[in-house]
Amino acid sequence: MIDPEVLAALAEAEQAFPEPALANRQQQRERINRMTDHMVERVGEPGPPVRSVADHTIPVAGGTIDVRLFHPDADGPLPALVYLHGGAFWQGTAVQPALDALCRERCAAGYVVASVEYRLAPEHQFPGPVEDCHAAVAWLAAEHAALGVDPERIVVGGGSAGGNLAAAVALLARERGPRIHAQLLEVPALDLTGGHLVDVGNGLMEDAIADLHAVYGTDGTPELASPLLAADLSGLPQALVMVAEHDELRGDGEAYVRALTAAGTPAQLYVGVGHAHPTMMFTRIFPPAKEWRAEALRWLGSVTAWPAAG
Amino acid sequence: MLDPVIAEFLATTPSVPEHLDLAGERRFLRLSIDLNFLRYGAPGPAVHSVEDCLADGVRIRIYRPSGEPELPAFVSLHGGGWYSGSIDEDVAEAIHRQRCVEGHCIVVAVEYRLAPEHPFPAGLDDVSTVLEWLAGNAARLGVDAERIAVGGSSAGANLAAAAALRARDHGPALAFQLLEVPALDLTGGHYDPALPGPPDIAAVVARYTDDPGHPLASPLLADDLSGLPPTHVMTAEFDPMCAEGEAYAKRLAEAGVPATVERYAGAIHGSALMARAWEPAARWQRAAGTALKDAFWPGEGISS
Repeated sequence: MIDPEVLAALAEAEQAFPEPALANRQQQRERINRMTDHMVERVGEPGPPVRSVADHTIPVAGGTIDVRLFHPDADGPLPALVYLHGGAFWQGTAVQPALDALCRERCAAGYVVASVEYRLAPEHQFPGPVEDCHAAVAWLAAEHAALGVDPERIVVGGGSAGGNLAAAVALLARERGPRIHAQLLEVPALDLTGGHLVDVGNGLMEDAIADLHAVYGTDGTPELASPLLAADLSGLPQALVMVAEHDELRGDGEAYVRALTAAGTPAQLYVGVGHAHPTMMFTRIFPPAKEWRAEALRWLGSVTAWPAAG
Repeated sequence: MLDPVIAEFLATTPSVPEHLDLAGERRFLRLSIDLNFLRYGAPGPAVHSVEDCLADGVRIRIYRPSGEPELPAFVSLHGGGWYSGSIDEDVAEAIHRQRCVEGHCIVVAVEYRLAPEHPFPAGLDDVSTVLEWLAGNAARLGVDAERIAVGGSSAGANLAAAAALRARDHGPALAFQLLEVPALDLTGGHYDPALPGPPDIAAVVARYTDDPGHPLASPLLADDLSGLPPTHVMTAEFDPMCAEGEAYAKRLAEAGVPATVERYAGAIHGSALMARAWEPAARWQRAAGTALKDAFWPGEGISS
């Protein structure tokens, strides 16, 4: 059962921002982004202060993108987390309040955190967002000395569609480099054909899947669109996959952990009990959100710690 | 026919109200086991030292019987159906002190990760991590790496048996395992639902694993039990899991593993905590301490 306060917050946000008739894609995107920010302001806690927040513009194929870099109050070389926001590949931003809080929290725990403003679909369709995100990781690795980053401890992470992109970047980097140390996949979508969705009482998702295919520009069969369908999952960075109990995408994450493990890639599963898809952001009103965030920090700490001496 | 003290224990231990969420259920079970310990349990003895630390990220508590170097170590795993329980429970504290003194060994209590947030094999991975850490840091910790044992109660005994299977194949070498009211067949093949236990054992198992037939989830179903360390199994007559513990001891013996089993007449799953109020429970605790002492200190005469 989903927490009533969580349901109320979701319903209130929907009411505060009614969908306009005949909205075009850009208007829909702005509405959803504003609605999300409004909700997160009420249900999420802001992040802690960090030493510095700086925006960098980096070159990518056919243009540039922005990367927001959070630096903790510590001197490097430090482990780094490249974080990819969610939003079904066509919504969300790297600087939205929910991402800001999450990036600051992880930064304050001792990581250089990079939030990537990858170009969105449908203007930039598959594999454009994957390429942008890979370019951001490659940039961080190449500039590691100037940025105070330890290139041996770069973690790629993301939520929802960002989790999909993080897993795809890990696959791409296995072929092209740079070396990625670990991957943190939160409520990830890993099979865009919809083949691993579970029924959590919201009915079937056929319309949503069809819309996703049209917007993202892929039927979901390439492995960079659906990492779960990749023929070879060996030799990938160790993974923590965090799934929400009441989320259709839970099946994707569970199957990915099984597939990674079977391929010899170390993978752990965390099941957020009581959680729905977005509730890891609800740190102000929903105690399990804090447990979720603490689990991510615990795992990051364990995979980026140097082996204890002696 | 249940002993009146056992009947009172069963009649006055409330079942978990259905309206509680997982956090509420864990809190309820913790209060309930602590309360039952205050009603029926016996506090543990003083030990030389108690230290909280991390073993490669896993929270552990180390009890030492003395400051001597090269002591044997017993890695102890609490019960709670894989989804509840803690090394901080009063009963865990008492049992760990008692085994530390009576086994004259270091006791390492493991706060392994719980299901369903951390499903199989996360909790088991934590146990393996602690065993490897203990063996790898034995000299620094004052542990004799040749005498590391693992054990536990109920779900903790399941994790102990699975960790021992893993350690047989991948190290470190273990000297002994102590399995108390163990859950060893999660497919339900040996479970007697007529006896007092969880009302829906399949639901408890489902929180832990969707693959109950996996040999590391159900060690009784492992193909090969040879090469495991000497084992002592303690079972309770009125425990729905009594048969699986005894079947495991039998299979171990057939595989050439020195295995003993002791069944406590009149006991139920969980009655071992009643060491103040019920003599067979006190006997159970003494026997567990003696089993450790005999395994770790052979030929040192009759134990205390």
